Amino acid sequence: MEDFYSAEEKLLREQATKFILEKVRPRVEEWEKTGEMPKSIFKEFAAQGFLGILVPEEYGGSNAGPKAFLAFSDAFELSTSAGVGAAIAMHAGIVTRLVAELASDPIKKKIIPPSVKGDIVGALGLTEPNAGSDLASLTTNVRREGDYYVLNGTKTFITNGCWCDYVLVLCRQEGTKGYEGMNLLLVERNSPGFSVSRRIETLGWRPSQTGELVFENVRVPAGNILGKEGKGFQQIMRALEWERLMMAHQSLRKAEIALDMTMKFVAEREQFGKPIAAFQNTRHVIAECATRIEVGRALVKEAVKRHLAHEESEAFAASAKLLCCEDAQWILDRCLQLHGGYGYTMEFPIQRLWRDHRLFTIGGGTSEVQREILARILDR
Amino acid sequence: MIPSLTDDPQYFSEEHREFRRQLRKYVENEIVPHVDEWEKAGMFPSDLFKELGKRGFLGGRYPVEHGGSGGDYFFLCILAEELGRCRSGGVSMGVLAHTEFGLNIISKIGSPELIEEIVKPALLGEKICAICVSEPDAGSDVAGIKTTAKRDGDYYVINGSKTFITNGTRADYLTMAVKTDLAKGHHGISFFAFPTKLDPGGTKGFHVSKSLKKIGMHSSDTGLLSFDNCRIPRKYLLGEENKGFYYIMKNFQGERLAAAVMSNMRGRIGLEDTWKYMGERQIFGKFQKQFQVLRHLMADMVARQLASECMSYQTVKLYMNTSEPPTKEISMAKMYATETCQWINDRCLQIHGGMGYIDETYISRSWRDSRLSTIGGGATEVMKEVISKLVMK
Repeated sequence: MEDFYSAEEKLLREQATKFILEKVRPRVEEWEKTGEMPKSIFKEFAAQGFLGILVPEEYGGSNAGPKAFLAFSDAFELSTSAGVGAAIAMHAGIVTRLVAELASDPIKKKIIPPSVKGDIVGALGLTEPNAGSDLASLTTNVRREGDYYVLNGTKTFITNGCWCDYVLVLCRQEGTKGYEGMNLLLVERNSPGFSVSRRIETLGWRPSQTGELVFENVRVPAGNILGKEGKGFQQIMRALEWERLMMAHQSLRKAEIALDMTMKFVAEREQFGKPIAAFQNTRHVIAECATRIEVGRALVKEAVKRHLAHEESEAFAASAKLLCCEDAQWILDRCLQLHGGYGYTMEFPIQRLWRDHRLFTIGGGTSEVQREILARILDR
Repeated sequence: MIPSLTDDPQYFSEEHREFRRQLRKYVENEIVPHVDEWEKAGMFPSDLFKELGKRGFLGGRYPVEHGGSGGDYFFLCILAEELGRCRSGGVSMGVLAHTEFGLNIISKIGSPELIEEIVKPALLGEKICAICVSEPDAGSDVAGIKTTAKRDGDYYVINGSKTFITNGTRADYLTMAVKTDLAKGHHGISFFAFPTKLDPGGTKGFHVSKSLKKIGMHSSDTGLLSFDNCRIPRKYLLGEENKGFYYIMKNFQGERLAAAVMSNMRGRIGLEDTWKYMGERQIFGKFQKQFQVLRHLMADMVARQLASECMSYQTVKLYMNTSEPPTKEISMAKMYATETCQWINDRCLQIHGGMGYIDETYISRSWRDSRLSTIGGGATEVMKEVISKLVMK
């Protein structure tokens, strides 16, 4: 298909690919086994300039743009650990960017440069024990007291949650409901009343430090609000759409990497006297997988183009999130199948791609929520 | 409303849009009122070719020197899409079999004499063309073709039979693949523009053995044809002898792309009609469109529909901008669009419930018509063979 990336973006992808294959991929098995990767990994990514792709130059970023970030994500998927990718993408692809877009100047100056250097790590606090895809029912509560906001509530399934140095918390002003009346507050880790109540063990994404965060009468300086009071939800809508597009894009990349692994495997593995690549069924399954990846890319390309141009993109973004994440799940499952018994062992990375990807039809707005969005577009 | 790319400026200029508006109006006013009758008759009238031809709808993408308008391939996409709006698959198929599948290769490699004799009048709809490849024992597998052409001085003598030929019972010219060297498999295929009306009463030895009855595509005629020592002048050989397989590889990709675009429109109309129906039909005291499972099913269909349209349009663009046809992308677009269209029409029929099974509902016809799309123009299984060879190195 026609080139999606510019020459600079391709160069960035090349640089990142080299870094991931040399410095990250060899350590992934260990991190996955223990569930621990060193937090200094952020500094290693930062040294390459990767954490500033979406940040303006005046705060130490390269401002290379959203497509550059997608090119970078093509590379980090090669680590074969979504936990690594998720930790980095949440920090650099979403959180730092929101701060750069919405925070006051003093907060930007304080938070962004060390974020770009990897000295501090950000998280996004949306989901609660009783509010996930349905953000309108979130209950984390905020009230104003003089120069402070006082915050109470619990946020869960937070990527980077256990080691974050700051978290953007979506919370509700007292007496409001639905999508109205929310604030987005930047809460620093050292704030009294903030605690990580537990690390959550997950099926995949193991090194991503998924945690539950508790806020008990946390006093947040009024200047830490991002954007406008009461407009917290509306302000992150575009970031959420961007997250969907990133997830759709990364899903296809993961599927592509899995398919490459699988094609190598079936070429070498012999059964019934010939490589299983020589069986017609194998070839047709691979053709179907490759087709779904290519078609998904065509959809993501259109959706990204619309999103970046501020054209009508909602239906395309929801379709891309729904279709690409679901199709990638199917593709990863077929790839595991073609690995046979080896696919079920913990020795081949295909099992991890398969486990890690399971979250993609859940996180960032479940497939069911994307269907709701699409059906409501039909209602119009 | 289902979002659409059919006016998107990245693909369609104002000239394209005007072409689309005029064609849409013509289809609404002059075709739609008659399709039920044509479906029953098993054939749309041959005059339709003339009517479309004289308005310039057939030659949109052909060179001006051949009697076309000199436009790009998106003009063909518009023709495929807007004809699809008549909701009778046979009409789109019959017209495209003529103006794209039959004529394309003649326009590409035919001699100036054949351009004058065939392409120019055909773009005016005064002559009717057909593509003529399948045989009782050779379809997707063209190497198995058994119809032969033997050189005899300034003539070729043709023997054999061809089947599943759209427009076959009335075509003036058959763009026909035959064997000029039986021993050579793929490399013994040649193409002819076979004239069916060379002699008064029809070319001697040429017979329409049968007009075939089909599951769907009822407004389009399909012929089983036989050739018994048909002598045709040498000038009807297209290009060079034994190069037919190469011409197929190079020139039939557009046919697959057209099949993808046609299927996309059939899927889109199925969705539009079904969503409308869901807003009218009540069950258990609610409109169908208020039930979550049906809404979610619609959403899944819309997502695939949009994906398929993005894939096809981006592939058309690639096809226009590259010297070698992008076979991988075209095969993928064809397979995905036709499979998707078939799945969508099946689910849409399900949503229509009992009404979906009744002849008078459009969706039942669309369901029948769409069944062919994953078979004709290279079956899904053939597409997978092609794709797997290109992706597994």
